[in-house]
Amino acid sequence: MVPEQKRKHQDFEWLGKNMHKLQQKHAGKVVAVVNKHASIGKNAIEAYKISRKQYPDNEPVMSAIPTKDALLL
Amino acid sequence: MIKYDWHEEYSESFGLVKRPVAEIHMKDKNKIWRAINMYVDSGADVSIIQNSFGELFGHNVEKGRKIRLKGIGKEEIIAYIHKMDLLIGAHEVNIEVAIGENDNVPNVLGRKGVFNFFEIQFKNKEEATHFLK
Repeated sequence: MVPEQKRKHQDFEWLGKNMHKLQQKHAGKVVAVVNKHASIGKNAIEAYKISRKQYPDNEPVMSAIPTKDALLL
Repeated sequence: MIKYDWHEEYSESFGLVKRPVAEIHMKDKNKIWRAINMYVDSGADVSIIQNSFGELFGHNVEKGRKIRLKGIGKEEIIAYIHKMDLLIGAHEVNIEVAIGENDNVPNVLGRKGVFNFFEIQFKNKEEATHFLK
């Protein structure tokens, strides 16, 4: 795995362990993660812009942050 | 085999729950691979992403074929079908993905074009999803 792929996978795994914490403050928003640093935006476009400002050389791993009342059916 | 550990999320009804999420890369209109987390849902006919993700990836959302989606309830979701390249592990697939008319949908990896390409196994005891080619 090349370093950037490895970094993205680590950020994916970080999200898996920390999403419930992000939900406490940011449910319904979008998170963009680089090197385990979360940039939050009201939507994907905003989260991406914030992340790229801080990490111009890295593509973030992005995820919608589920609301607490969301159930997958 | 590609393996994705389930992600821990909070549900006000059930407390902490583990959900099957996959690390997907989508090629945007500038041919850049964007990383996005999507729920793996064997009950979903088609994959769907939020409107703002579609726009971020350079799609003119409403240029796609308009469809109506319904879940368990009565509420209807309007979405637009676009062809996209997805990278799952080392495998590239070209599939139809619906882009929601707004952001009130989860990002979901559904069956169309995916479940017939991979054998997908939900491993409850292991709390992981396996994609086998």
